[in-house]
Formats: sequence, C-alpha cells, structure tokens
Amino acid sequence: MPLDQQAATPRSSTRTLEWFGVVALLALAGAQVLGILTSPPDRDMGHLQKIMYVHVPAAWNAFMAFFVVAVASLAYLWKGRERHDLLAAAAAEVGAVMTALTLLLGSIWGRPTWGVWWTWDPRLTSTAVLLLIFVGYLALRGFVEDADRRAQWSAAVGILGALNVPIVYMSVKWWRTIHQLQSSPSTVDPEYVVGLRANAIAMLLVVVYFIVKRYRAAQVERMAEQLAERAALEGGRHG
Amino acid sequence: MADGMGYIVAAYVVTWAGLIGYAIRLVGVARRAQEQLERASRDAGGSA
Repeated sequence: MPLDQQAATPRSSTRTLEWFGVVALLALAGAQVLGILTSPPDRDMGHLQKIMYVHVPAAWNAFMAFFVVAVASLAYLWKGRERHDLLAAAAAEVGAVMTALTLLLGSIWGRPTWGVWWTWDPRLTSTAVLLLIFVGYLALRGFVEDADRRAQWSAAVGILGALNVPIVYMSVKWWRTIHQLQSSPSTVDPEYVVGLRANAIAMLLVVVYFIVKRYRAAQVERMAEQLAERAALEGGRHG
Repeated sequence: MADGMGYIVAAYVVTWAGLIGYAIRLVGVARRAQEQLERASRDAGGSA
C-alpha cells in the first residue's frame, strides 16, 4: 500500500512516543548518576574511567543502529517495501550521530590518557571510515530524486557500510593498536559492570526513540513527495 | 578537584549537547515534514 494511503500516525501514538523519549532521557541521566557515584577511580586512569559510561554506550548503540540499517536494507532488497527503506534511512542517520559522538568522546578521553586528541590508530581510523560511509549514504539519499533508485542504491551502500561494523569491533584484536580491548562486562572490572550496563540500556532507549521519531518524519516526508509527484503528473496530463 | 575533571565534564556536556541537539533537530524535521505534506495536499487538491 502506498504511504499516502496509509492512515496518519494517531495523536495518542505520537504522545506515547514523546513520553517514551522523556523517560529514555531521564533514564540516561539516572544511569549516568549511578555510574559516576558508584564507580571507584580506576587504578590506571583514575576518574577518567567515568568517560566510559558515555563513550562505550554511544559506540555500542551506533553499531546497533547500523545493524538495523543492514536488516532493513536486506528486507527492502528482498521485499521491495518502502517502509524498510525509510527505516534503514532513519537508523543510518541516528547511527551516524552516535558514531560522531563516539569519536568526539573518544577524542576527549584520548587527550589525557594517550596525550593526543587523535591518532591514525586502526580502531579510530576504521570508526572514522564508518562515519564517512554513512555520511555518504545520507548525502546519496539527498542527491537521488527517483525514490526506487534511491532506495536500491541506499540499501546497497547501507549493507556495505554495516559490513564495516565487525571490522571496527575486531580492529583492536586484528591490528596493533593503542586502543584498549573491547569494553564489555567480561573485560571491565566487576565494579564498573552495573554502571556500564545501565548506561548502555538507557542509551539504547534514547536511540530507539530517535529512530522511531525519524522514521515517522520520513514517512510523512515520503507521503508529501508522493503527493507532489502525483500533482506534477496530473498537471502534465492536463497541460 | 580530581585529576582530569575538566575532560570528564566536557565528555558529559558533549554527550548531552549532542543528544538534546539531535532531539531538537528531529522536532524541526517532523514539523517541516508535516508542513510539506499539508502544502502537497493543497497543491494536489488544486490540480485535481
């Protein structure tokens, strides 16, 4: 069913989403307070360890958003449904924002621990490449006017871009790097696990809110585009 | 003040600036999309 024939999002659903967004942001604030107050200074990094509670959840959720891009893009190529293309685009935008945030936070962490804001380390470089791919993905969507072609090309770039995620994740194992191993409950001190988990889950809620909100806006944008296309077609016929 | 406190504060400020900034952008995107739809509906009604 074309998007312009679908019922508009009910107001109650919009209100629920906004409330969900508020709760997600409050949960994130609460998780950050929990992490800051309950974690002792790290033996090597001291209090700088607390940056982990924002940097690592941002990175994990960027990966999660790109996983959504890959699944939705594959679904689009398989079924050809427009809603999968719009979901992939929404997740790609949110993933790019989270990746940019990850790089910025990593840079703030790197300066006092490594002595530099940036270095061409495999983890940092592969993350920057990931961001560039998805900035390109979003630019591509802006350039291509034909909706079908835009969706097909975007799906291809989205899948190729998401394939970079395992490379970023494994880069600290595959190559010599100054970046520490992947932070996960199995690699960090048990005293930091609760704070890390709480922040990762709260950030996930925020990212889900962002993706749904962007997806709904994309649906409305597409409906407007379809109406404009139809009006142009009718105008051409009458003219 | 603990060592590196400035970097910790900067990290949390950047996080919230990014998240709130993007949330505000999304509100703008949704509003513009709605206006675009209303304009397109009017134009489509006029041309039919």
